[in-house]
Amino acid sequence: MTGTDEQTLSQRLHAELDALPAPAAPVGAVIRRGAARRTRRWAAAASGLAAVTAVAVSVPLLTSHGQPIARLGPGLRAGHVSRPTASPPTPMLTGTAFAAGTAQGRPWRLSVRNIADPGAHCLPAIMLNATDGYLPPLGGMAAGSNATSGQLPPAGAGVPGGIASLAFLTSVPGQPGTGYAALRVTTDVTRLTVGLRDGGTLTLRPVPVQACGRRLPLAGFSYPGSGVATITAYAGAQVLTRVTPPASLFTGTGSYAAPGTPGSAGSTLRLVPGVWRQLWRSQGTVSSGQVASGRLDGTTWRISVQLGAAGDCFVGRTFDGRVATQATDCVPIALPSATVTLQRFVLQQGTGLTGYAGLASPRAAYLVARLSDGHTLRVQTAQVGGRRYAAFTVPANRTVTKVTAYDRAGVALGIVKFSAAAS
Amino acid sequence: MLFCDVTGEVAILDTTETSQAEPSRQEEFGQFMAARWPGLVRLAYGLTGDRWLAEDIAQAALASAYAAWWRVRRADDPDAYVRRILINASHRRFRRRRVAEQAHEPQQLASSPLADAAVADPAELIGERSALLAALRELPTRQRAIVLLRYWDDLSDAQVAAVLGCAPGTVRSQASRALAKLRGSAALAGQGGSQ
Repeated sequence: MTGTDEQTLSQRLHAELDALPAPAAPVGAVIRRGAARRTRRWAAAASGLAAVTAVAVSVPLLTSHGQPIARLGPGLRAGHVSRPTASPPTPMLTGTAFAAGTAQGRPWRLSVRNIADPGAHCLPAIMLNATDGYLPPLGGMAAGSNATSGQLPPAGAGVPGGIASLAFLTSVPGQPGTGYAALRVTTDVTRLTVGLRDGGTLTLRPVPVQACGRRLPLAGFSYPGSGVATITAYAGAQVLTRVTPPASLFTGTGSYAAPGTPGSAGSTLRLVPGVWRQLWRSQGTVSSGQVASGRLDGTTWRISVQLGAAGDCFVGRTFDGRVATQATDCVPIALPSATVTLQRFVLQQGTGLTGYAGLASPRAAYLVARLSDGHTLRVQTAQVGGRRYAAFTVPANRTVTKVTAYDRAGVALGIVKFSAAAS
Repeated sequence: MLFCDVTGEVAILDTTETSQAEPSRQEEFGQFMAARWPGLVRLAYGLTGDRWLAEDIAQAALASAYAAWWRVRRADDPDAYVRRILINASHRRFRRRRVAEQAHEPQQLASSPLADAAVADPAELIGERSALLAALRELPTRQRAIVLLRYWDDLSDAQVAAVLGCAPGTVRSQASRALAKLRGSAALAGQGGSQ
C-alpha cells in the first residue's frame, strides 16, 4: 500500500467516523458511574485485606456432591512458566489449581472448579483466575494411545497421543499481549516442553487434580502474544507426541481444521480474543433447556440457555404471528452468582423487545425486577443442567432499574441496580 | 500492564459523593470529558461498528477514568490513558458475543427448541455498517486499533505505541499487515477499495 493509499484510507475513515453525530456528553451519568466504581474498588480493597488472612488459613476445595475431593500437597511443582515477567520457580499450588504465575505484572492462576450449583451433578470447568472457564472433555483416553507427531492432526485423524485436550485463551481483556494454554494429558506423560514463537522454551510437569471424582493430569502456561510453536509430550525420555500449531492461529488471521471423531469431517476453528478455544475434543453442548417464556404485546417469546464450548449462550426466540426471530448472546462460563448477573439483548429488532437473561444464585427462587416506569415483574428462576438461571423480557420503551433476588422463603439475597446506560 | 478494568453491563450502584474535593474534581473531569466525548465515541464506533455499543463503551471508559482521575490527570498523556482504557473496554466486549437477529421459519419456534441455535464466531458478527467498518472488523483488535489511531486519530507511531503499550516498530509492522489485509478486503473491493 502506497502513501497515496494511506491518504485515501485516512480520508475514508474521517468521512466515515467524523460524520457520526455524537450526542451531548452525559457527564453526570458518567461521574455517578465512576464514583460508584471507585466506591466498589475501595470496598474490594478493604475486603481483600480480610480475604488475604482467610486464604492463608484455608485451602480451596472442589466438592462433588458436597464432599471435598481435592487437595494438593504444598510445594507441588507447578506445570507452568510465566511470561513475559518471571514467576516464582515453585509457586505454592493449593486446592485444584494446576498452574499459576505472573504475566504483564498480573498474577494468574489456572484451576478446576465445580461450576454446578450445590447438590447438583458436579460439573468441572477449567478457569483462569476463577472467572473465565471452559469445559474440558472428560472422555477416557488410554495412556500412550494413538501417538503421533508433526502438525496438528488433520480433520478426522483423531487426536495426538499423550495430549487429551488442548485449549488456548488469547488476549484476555487487560492483557492483550498474553495468552494462556491448558492441557489435559494422559497419565503416562511425565513432562511437557513448549517452544514459543519468540524463541523461548518452557518445561512443564503435569499436575494431577482430583475433580468431580476424576483424576485429571493437567498442565498450563502463559505465553506471549506471538504464540506457541510446539508442544511436546514425553513419557520419561520417550517423545509421545509433538504438536505444531500454525503461526497464523495466534495472529488472528488463520484457522485450522480441528479434527472430529473418526469418520467425521471436523470443523474449522479460529482463536477468538477473550474466549477459551479447544483445539480438539471439545465438549460441545453440555446442557440446554428453557429458562422462561411468555407473551408480551402480542409477541410470544422464549429464552433458553445452552452451556457448552461457547460458554453460557442465551437464545431468545420470538413469534408475533407473522415473523419469527432468533437472537443469541453468549457469555464466558462463570461460577454461580451471589445474586444474579443479567445480560441484556434485543430479541426483536423491529419492536425493540428486549430480553434479560443470566446466571442466578443457586438459592434464588425468584427475582423482582423494577422497570423504569415504576412497574415490577416477578420472575421465576429455573435450573438447567445443574445451574440456576433467570430470564425475562421488557417492552422496548422501558428499562430495568433494579433487580432483587429472593430465596424460597422470600428472604432477599441481594439487589442489583442498573445504570441508565447499562440497562 | 496495559489496560484498566472496565465493567460490563452489570450492576452500577448509586452512591453519594462526600469528599470535599469532589466539586472541583467533577468540574475538572466534566471539562475533560466534554472535550473528548465526540472523539472517544467515534473511536469506539470504529472499533465496534455499533453506535449504541460505542456510546456505552465510551461511557464505561470515562467512568473508569473518573474513578482513577487522580492517576489520569497526573499521567504524561491523559488522552492516551483514556484511549487505552477505551480500547481495552472495546476488547472486553468481545467476550459478549452477539448474534444479530436472524429470521427463520415460523414453525421452527415450535418445533426445534435449541438444536438449531448455532452460535456464530463473534468475530463474524457484523451488523449493519459500511464496507469500511466491516473490513476493519475483520482485523484483529490490535490492528484495528492501530489503523484507527494512526489513520483517523492521526497519531504518530510513538503515540500509538504509548497508547497500546508496545514498541513503535510493532505499530509499524502491525499497521503494514493491517493495510495489506484491507487492500485485499472483499468488502472494500466492492466499493472501489480503500487502498
